[in-house]
Amino acid sequence: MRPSNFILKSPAAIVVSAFACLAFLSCSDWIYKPVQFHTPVPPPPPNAFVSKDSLSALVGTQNVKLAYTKMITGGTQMLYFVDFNDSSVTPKLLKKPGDKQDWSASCPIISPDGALVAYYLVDPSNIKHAAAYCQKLDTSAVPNLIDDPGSDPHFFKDINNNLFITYADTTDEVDATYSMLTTKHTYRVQISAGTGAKTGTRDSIAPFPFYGGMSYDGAYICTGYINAYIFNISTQNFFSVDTGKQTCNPSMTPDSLLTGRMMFLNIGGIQNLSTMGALAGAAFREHQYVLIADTGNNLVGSFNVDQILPDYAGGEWQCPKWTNASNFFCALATKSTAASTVVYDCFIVSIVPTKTLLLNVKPDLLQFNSTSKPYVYIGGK
Amino acid sequence: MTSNSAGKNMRIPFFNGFLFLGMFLPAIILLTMCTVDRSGRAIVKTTPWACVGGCGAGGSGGAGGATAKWIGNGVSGGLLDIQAMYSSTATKTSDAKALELRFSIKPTYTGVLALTVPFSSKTGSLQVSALYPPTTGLINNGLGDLRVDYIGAFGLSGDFSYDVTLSVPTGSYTATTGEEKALQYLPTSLQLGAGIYNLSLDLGKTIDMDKGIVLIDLVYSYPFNINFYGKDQYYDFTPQQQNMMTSAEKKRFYYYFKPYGENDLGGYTPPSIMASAFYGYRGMENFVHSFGLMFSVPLGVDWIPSMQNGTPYDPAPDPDNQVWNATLCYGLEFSRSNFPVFIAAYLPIHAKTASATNAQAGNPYDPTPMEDWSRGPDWNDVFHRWSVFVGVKTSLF
Repeated sequence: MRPSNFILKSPAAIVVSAFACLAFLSCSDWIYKPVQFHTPVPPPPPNAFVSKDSLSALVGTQNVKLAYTKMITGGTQMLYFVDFNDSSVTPKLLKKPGDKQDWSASCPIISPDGALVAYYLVDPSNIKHAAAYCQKLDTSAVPNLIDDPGSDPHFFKDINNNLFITYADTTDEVDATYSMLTTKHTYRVQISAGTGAKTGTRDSIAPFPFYGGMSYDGAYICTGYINAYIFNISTQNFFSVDTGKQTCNPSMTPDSLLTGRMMFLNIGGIQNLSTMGALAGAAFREHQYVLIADTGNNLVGSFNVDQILPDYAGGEWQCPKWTNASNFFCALATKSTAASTVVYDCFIVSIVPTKTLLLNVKPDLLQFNSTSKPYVYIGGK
Repeated sequence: MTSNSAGKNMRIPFFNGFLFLGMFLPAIILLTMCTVDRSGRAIVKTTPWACVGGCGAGGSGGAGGATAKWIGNGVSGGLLDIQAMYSSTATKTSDAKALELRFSIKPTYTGVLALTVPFSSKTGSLQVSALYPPTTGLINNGLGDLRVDYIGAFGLSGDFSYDVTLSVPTGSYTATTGEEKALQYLPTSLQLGAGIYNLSLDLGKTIDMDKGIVLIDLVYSYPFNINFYGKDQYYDFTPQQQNMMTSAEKKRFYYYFKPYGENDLGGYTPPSIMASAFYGYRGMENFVHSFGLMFSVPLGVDWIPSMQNGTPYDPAPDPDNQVWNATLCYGLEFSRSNFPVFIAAYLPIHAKTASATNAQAGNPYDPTPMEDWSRGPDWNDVFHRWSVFVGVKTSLF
């Protein structure tokens, strides 16, 4: 048989030829090679923030900065900040580490001088795995790793003006008998006030993971999420808060005098605090109150979303956090307006006297959890 | 031990595969029949040794299982031949049991057209991070990826053969486990399908010997993907995000055809080449012993999707990628004319993976450490993974 006939008529020849062609293509540079995919991050939407005059009227200065996270399509929480000193008040995206673009940012905190931001990133393949970072509050700043695993970083400045970050090396909570997690710790590590990079090695300040930060005098740390505790570092004493009740979003007071106080968000039901006055025995709605308690488990502050924000009556507080000024906290307020949407806005709440200011005066209808974990820095405090 | 039942979140990913089968199977049958008839030269090998086919490299079928090569007299004579092959494949972390039903007919004197229907039951563990213990006792059961293949013979005495196999993604590749708000995809080895199509071409040569036979095969597998919806079924992006993507990035999510094996979660299977040689000994009456070696090389690195359901599209090179894989094979057919029985044991030996030496540490998206041939065989894993097979054949009508 002549070769041409063989090629034209034999299916086997076609198979062999196809085989050879495919093998050749596969060995060439034409073969597809996957590459890492970065989810596109659109610029943040232009929001209308509160006027500088209104802000100044509430907190006494325009030197205010807001850090928060925002979810983009695909599920990743990105990290933003707003500087109200800027001529144009717009959200700015902060950098994540190059190899953790798809990790979700959580719980940003701004340093006492307003120059740095600390936060942690959550591993998308394991939501219990987190790594803590710190960097300048600047869109071009490169993140510095504080620790991995590491979560819930907070700033602490000692009497010599040395700057530290406290954090936990897990995201698991302390249980009712704080008998678990004995291998986990709350650590403190010194950092550079200029860059946020570590300058020393970590020291364990508690043999348990605490998530609420350290008090102004360095005497106390606090935690929550399952059980709330204030812990005296020097005496190693635990003070149970709202005993037996789950609490959320623990936050240690920045006050220089009343240092043994923590702020937290209630879970529904009757709370187990002392000196509750008219609130004793009342069944709270889930996240209805931001509460403040001291080491004696006494209720020393309560903020009812129904009374403070009538437009959000029946709604919930989310992510309350003490600012760096002890007479202000910031939080999100939510209220369901439809089955799947909530009004979700950020507020600064003045603790004494009780008055509020809407930071974002143009309410957004956003998917729940699309904006979260606000932290407000107030200059000069 | 925690017992988990996977598959809470299966979104009928195999619809694509069935749609493809329904639309194109009649055309494939017609085409193959016409092609062979027109050649008019090939003489089908009528010796019993012809009853091979559906070899392991041909199917994508999801990982974790294996397919045996039946070498023996087989059975013939009916209009419909049926083969049932049960297999059990064990590794250090998983155990896969499978039943493959293979229905074949002879549309022409020279060819065999077959449909293979695999069912699998896989048990294993999931460890999303070295920082935490694995979740054990995960179970996934169901239909795997269907395969259609056509075997033809050619050569002056029919001693050459070709086998064209198409596998279609009818098996789920998106089974999840865990809490509702934190669902995690099972590892690829515990999924039932690959989520891609695979076309393989097998070129075979048969050498008859005194009391025996030698079978040599060269198989080329080429995965690809078809999407009848025109877009990824698990990831979508806003128009603003799409505008920020390059054209290459867009093609990963918005496509009808991908000329490569990337599924909608980002899992990627490269083309591969496999060579095999088997010797069948028929010196004992009513028995056929067979010994063989298969050697497979992927022409690239596997990529695996992000394990966390609902998180961004984040595939990465598989740290367990094997740059080569060899398998020692032994089979024994109890040759009976109407109802032969086949048993086999396969022992794989593979290259040491990047994860075995933690070579992937650093940039997890750099496939270079997974392509390294210098690590040699992973002798520590030998005898920790193996497969056994029991199969029967019969002929109907």
